[in-house]
Amino acid sequence: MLLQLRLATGTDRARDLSRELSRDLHSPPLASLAPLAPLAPLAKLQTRRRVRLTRFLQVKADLLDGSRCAWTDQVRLRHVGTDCVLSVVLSARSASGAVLSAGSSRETSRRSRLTWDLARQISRDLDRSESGGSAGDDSAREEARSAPPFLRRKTSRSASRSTFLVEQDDEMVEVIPTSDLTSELSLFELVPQYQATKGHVGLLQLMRIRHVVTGYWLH
Amino acid sequence: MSDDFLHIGDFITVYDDVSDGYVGAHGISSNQVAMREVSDPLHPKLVAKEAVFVLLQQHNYASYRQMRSFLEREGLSAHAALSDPRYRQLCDAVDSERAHNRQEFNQTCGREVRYGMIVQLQQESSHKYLSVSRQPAELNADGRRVVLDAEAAESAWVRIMPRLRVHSEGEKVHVGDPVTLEHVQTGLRLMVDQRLPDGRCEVIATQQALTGFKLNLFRLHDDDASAHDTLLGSQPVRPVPKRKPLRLGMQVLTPAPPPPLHPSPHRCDSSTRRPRVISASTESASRRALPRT
Repeated sequence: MLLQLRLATGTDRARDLSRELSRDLHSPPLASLAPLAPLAPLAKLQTRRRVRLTRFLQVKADLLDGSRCAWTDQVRLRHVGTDCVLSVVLSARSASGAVLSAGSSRETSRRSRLTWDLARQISRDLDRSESGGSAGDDSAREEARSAPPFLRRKTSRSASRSTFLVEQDDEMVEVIPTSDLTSELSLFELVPQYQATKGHVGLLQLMRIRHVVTGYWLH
Repeated sequence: MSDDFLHIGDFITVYDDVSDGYVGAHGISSNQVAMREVSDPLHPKLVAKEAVFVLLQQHNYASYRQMRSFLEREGLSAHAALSDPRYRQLCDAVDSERAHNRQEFNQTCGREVRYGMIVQLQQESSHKYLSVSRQPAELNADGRRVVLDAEAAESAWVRIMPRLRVHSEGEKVHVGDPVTLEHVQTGLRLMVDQRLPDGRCEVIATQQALTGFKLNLFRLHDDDASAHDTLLGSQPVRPVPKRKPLRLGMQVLTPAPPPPLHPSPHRCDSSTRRPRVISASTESASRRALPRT
């Protein structure tokens, strides 16, 4: 899913930015960033509440690094209203329909079960997709079976196709808020839409947000 | 311009490597400046709010001093003196002095900080100045209390002095150099003292200062100036999907409590309040309900 990061401050600069953004046909106008004074009291309350609900602090992995954010930096999304960070619980829906959830104490074993389930589905999809196709990708298939899920996507063209099928089967991990600001499970990285994009992250550039540990994308 | 030196306008943290903590204060609920250790469980949560300061040049407070002395001489409060034309003139002079200070900051922003230079440390979150008050310290009667004060005026002037003999006055201050902070009005030096009841260590101003601080860089001054289109660390943002009128949000859900079987005294159970990630799917509907400006 393509995302844009927009300033969530109440400054004039943000308001100018919101007016500029509202010309974009694909994106809605930022009503929550509009000046609050002309609105009716009830609407003002709703608007302020919505501003509080949807505002995040983009915190780098190093908490005391306030410099410009590069595309290679790892960040956390810290919600302003609740003071929690977005994190990932390692859970997945297995083939039998049972939900595998992971906590901090049994993280390793659950991750292995998650990997096993994904590997089983991917191998099944590989067999399905390659039954009538070329038979020269046995090594890639074996590599795909043994590699972690997020690495497996890069092994071959058919593997990436089957990974897409896996994602279509609702193999997703759950995003939860946690108060642990130092956990690796809350680290995300910003990936530009176009691979040639380098340097610092622009506020209006389109990007995807990928979880570092699992390699999954924020949907 | 090298990033190794400190500049006017830089965002810095004041770090004590002996105690492994950062100097800061809440700024709103408490103005007392103290050092919170890295091992403190509240450190990751509060360090960016408490411990980031902006390096400012020495401001002028001549008109402000005249206004304060006028109020003390006449024995009036600021509200009661508003009817006096002399006081209003002084207020105008203070306003123009503040504007001049801001203009001077824009001119000196980016200039290297040197040892012996008088600066002011303004907390980023509360916009209050680090200053030394006339009150004694809470735990050490020999020292003075270091506080955050929005109207600190000249008591916010701090001179950056070298901690080691290899550095001398006039040299540029590197990021991470051990320095001592000397209060200009009193000549006292800042140091980390005993532990407060809340777990932080009190920062006091005393003559026999043994603490050397390190001024670490949080953000460069030109990063902040050129932040119109780039994303900064610890910046408030709002992730917006490109093709859907949704916003990522989070709210605290408070489920309705079950009806009590037996009447009991009022009790609040915090475990029922837990945040949940939501996507504001009703964004478009709620926006339609709002009057457009």
